Amino acid sequence: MISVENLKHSYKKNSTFAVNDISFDVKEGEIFGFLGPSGAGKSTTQGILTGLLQLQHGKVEVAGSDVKKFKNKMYNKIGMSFEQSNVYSKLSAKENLDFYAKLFDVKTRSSMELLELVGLGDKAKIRAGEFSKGMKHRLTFARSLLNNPSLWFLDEPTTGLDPAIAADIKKIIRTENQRGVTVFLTTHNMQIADQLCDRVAFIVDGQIKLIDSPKNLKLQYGEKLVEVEYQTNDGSKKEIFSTIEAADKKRLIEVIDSSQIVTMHTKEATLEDIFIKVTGRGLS
Amino acid sequence: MKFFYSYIKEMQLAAKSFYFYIELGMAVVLLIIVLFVVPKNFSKTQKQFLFIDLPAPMVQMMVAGMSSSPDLQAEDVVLKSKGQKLSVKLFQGKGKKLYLAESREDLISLAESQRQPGVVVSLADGQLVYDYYMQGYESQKVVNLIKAAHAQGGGFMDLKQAVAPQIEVKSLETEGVILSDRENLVPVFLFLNGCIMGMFIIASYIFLDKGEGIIKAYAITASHIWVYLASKIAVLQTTTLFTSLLLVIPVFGLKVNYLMLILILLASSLFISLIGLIVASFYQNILKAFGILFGLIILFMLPALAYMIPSWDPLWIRYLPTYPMVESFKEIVVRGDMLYVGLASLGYLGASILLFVFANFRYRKTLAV
Ligand SMILES: Nc1ncnc2c1ncn2[C@@H]1O[C@H](COP(=O)(O)OP(=O)(O)OP(=O)(O)O)[C@@H](O)[C@H]1O
Ligand SMILES: [Mg+2]
Repeated sequence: MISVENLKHSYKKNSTFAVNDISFDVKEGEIFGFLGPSGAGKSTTQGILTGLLQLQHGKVEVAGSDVKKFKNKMYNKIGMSFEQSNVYSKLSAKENLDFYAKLFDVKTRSSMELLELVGLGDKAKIRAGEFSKGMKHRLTFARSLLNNPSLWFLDEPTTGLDPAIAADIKKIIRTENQRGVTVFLTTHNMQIADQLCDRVAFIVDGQIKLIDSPKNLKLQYGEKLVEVEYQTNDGSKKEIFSTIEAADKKRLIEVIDSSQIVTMHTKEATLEDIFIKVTGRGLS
Repeated sequence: MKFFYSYIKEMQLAAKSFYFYIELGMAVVLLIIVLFVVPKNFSKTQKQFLFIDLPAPMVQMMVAGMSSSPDLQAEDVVLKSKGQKLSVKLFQGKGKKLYLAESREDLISLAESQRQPGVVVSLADGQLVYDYYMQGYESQKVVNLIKAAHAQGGGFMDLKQAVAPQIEVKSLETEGVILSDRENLVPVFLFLNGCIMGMFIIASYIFLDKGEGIIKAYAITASHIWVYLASKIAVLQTTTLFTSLLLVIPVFGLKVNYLMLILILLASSLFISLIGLIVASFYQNILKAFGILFGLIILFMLPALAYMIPSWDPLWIRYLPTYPMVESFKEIVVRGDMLYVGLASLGYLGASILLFVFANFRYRKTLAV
């Protein structure tokens, strides 16, 4: 669905690259997670893939066409939810969607249905300018589904949303994906990525450090951990031990031998742990 | 179809934005000024300074002749000029004051301090010679006007002799039009309302959209950026047309050529809105663009200024792209050279094609900004 080779992008057209020589493929029907800390170059990459930013260097093919020769008809197949919500604040939620629907040549989804989907059904007639940040974000998200895209770009779709709504959004993404929609998901929320993505790319400072499925990554990098809560003289104490590292194993045996165990769980390394381990960088 | 929907939506947005009401409000204010404040007719008295450098008997004869004329009242007055007190003879007629100076030096001093043209009449080789002392910034038109006015005024000067053969003389009378202040002002108002406001307003619309990130969202639809730009322009043309007609119809009724008026309004607002669009494409918000917008507005307004101040009309003004707009409105409201208006419109349309291509290029290039 997407193929990127040696993509570079410099906003100032000099030698500081926001995206510095990245290559990857996104297969049809998968949810591809693009993960990295702020300023890593995620939105820049997405901008180039959607034709918003002009390709400077490298080869990029999206849905079978070279982005350099993007025809407007292409956008009938593409949906994009922006990082910063961008809707007409002077138009109501429904007017916003209805207007955008007219800009496509394909059959579009009903605006009311989409508003219901993102929990804005009862706000259809309210001007977007009066919406909260999260509501605007949901409206922008809903708009990206208008044309039933087969390739769906999502830039931070759950950022700034309360957990219940974020869970709804997650569900929508999964449902769309099950209908065959390819998803390019940009986020720095590792939990979302872990739960949704078939594969993830770790991007730091404009470079991709690794691409793999979360499951593989955990097998490969994720040591099994044991979290033990045990009784000491001054109350209970929690400690995490690796089941692989020798020192940890020894200490674990000591604890089991000498203390009264309250709880003991095995714990898998999270995607975030792995990200830090691979890139040497945190996510925020 | 997408253009139509975009246009309708842009109209809706414009109607909800306060810039639209600025434009409408300004048109109404201008209309009120024209209808209720500006007098319908010119009543400004013209001042002229004259020195007759002829043998004393001839001068006395002329003065006596003028003094006995029933439409001229003669009196001796003292005028202050550059700290000096100069005594002159004043002949006052209908809408005209003629000052007769006592020497060439007095005349030059008076012409300078009063910022009015002065004329010296002398005799050489048995022929009357007219020396005009101008301020140095009058347009040829003004020069001609003065000569013509002299010719018709006193009756003691011969136009044919007064005018150098290479200079074409036009007088208001021969063109069959006498300007009223209203007719004078409306072309300028049309220009200010449509063109100057237009550039500012379309840039404001773009900055509103930039602020909301709307252009990006538009760019990833199956519509074209040029449709977006065209719909913005169409909105501006609509409001310009509406407010301009609001100004013209109550003042002139059916007396102007509306077909040509609409043509030049559409062509000039197309041109000016493209300039606004292009300027806006280089800036992130209106504050950053304000300097250049302001500069352009001043520059583009100069032709109107030159029109309002007849004595200030430097040649280079004619090369400003807004010069033909002012002239065209003048032709439509006052003089009636429709060929000029047609050509000016064609010129604006032609230039607009190039500007549109460039604007489209600029906006496609800066979608993500
Ligand atoms: N319009 C721009 N002009 C100049 N530099 C830019 C522009 N947009 C982004 N950058 C720079 O490019 C780099 C990558 O930015 P980008 O927006 O792609 O990061 P990101 O991974 O999406 O970050 P975030 O998680 O904060 O959204 C950053 O260093 C940023 O400062
Ligand atoms: Mg980003």
